Amino acid sequence: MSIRFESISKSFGPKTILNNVTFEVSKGEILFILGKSGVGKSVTLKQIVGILKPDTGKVYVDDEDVTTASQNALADIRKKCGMVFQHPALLDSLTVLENVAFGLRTSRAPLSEAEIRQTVLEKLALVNLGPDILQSKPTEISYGMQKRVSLARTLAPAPSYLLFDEPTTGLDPITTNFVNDLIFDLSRKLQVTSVVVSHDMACALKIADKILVLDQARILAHGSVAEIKKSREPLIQSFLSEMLAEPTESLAPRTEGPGIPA
Amino acid sequence: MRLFLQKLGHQALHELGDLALFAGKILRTTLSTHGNMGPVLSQVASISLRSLSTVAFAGVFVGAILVLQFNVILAKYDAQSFLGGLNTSALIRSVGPLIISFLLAGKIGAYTAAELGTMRVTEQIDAIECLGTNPIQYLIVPRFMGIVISSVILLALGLLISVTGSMVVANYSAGINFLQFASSIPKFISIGTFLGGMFKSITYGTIVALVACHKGYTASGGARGVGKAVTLAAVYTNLYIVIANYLTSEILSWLESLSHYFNLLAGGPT
Repeated sequence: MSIRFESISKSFGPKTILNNVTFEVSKGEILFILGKSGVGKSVTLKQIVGILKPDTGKVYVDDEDVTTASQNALADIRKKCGMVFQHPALLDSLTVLENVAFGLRTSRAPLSEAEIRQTVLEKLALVNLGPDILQSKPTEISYGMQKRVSLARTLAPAPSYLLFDEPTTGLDPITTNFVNDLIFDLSRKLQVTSVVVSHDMACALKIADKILVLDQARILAHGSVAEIKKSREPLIQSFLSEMLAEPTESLAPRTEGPGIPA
Repeated sequence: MRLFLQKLGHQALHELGDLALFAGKILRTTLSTHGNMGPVLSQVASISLRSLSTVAFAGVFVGAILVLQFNVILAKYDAQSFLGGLNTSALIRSVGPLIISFLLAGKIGAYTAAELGTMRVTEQIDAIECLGTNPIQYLIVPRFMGIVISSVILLALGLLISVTGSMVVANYSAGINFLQFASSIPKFISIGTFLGGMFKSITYGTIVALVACHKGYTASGGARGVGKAVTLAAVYTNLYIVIANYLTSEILSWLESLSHYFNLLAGGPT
């Protein structure tokens, strides 16, 4: 059970975004992908679910090649992977209930309406949202709430892999901590594998098992938090020095988290 | 100049190739998924209701303009009794389908391109894909079918309103009463004329739907990208409709000559 990138290269026009990138994410691991804007972090994430195809190389999810998968196989792979986008990406024409239930209605094992509603309520509770917003349209709730509804929608079909594209962008510090704790808890208690694209080194040091730093279309560093901290690479040093301004308590690594029943 | 023409030709071929591939995807998805007509009917109802007032308003005025123009010419030849037939024939054959498709392009085409474009740049379409649903099936097929079916419904309603408006204007400005107006209609139109109008309407509706869905679905680059998609959808749709108007008119006049020839062979009325 893993995600594997083998010699992935991807270009958009004349610009090379990824050049011969290889790495692996093991089951239950939290991998943070860090790097400056435009280095291909989101492109990397979208290749896992086949929204983007690499020019060369292979992407494997559970040993299944995403790059050559048929439409049906790709749909199966996507059901194993939940993706939280940079935007909340909620469907404006649907209510919160219908948005969170969206993935449940297309699942292979059909659920009754009562089961769907129950699951929706559970997932909303997981992201600290109550039933009062069930019938609201996305435009009627705040941006932070939209992001949390989006997270609940991703969690609803119980995916084995969670892919986060800057999940805390635009959120207040309290909700940011809440989301980070949730990612940590999902990994530790439910063995969900997470790949998180972020700019936030502090957050990465707090909850990541491994960190991968992308720069100039290649992997600059890939290793455990301790290894990354020891790195002499100027970009990583610059990321770390940016953090010196952060409160020291945010650097303390997480050991356990409440919230999700084991 | 040569380079410019080469570039233009290359761009046109690229554009048509993309449209053809997109149309293929829609067709394949429509054929491979059976039956759920609910979303299509909902789109038909929504598009028809949203466009009806505009079509009715434009229909009345287009009919009135044609009556006034034809009346000037027919009066010179003392042939005003043909006003109803000539007016209705022009409306069904060309003006009706053309005006309705331009209105559809402006109202529904632009709306569809903007809606899909926004969904694309805010990653809603990616999210649908990630949740295991085919966005072509979920978003494009209902909108595409909705626009095409609505274009025929709107043509029928638009013609009805337009002819009624023409009758009123003919009555007070040309002194042709309702009965005189209506009695000349069968001399100018047949079932074939209606079918021809419907054929044109379906063709233009398909163009509006295809271009709007394609431009919106492939939008990129934030708000500017959505703006560009809407502009391109409007420009290309109108351009393709004008070209299609010429081609469909050629096909229909060829079919009309053919039917005239067969009628002669059979010794029937010419």
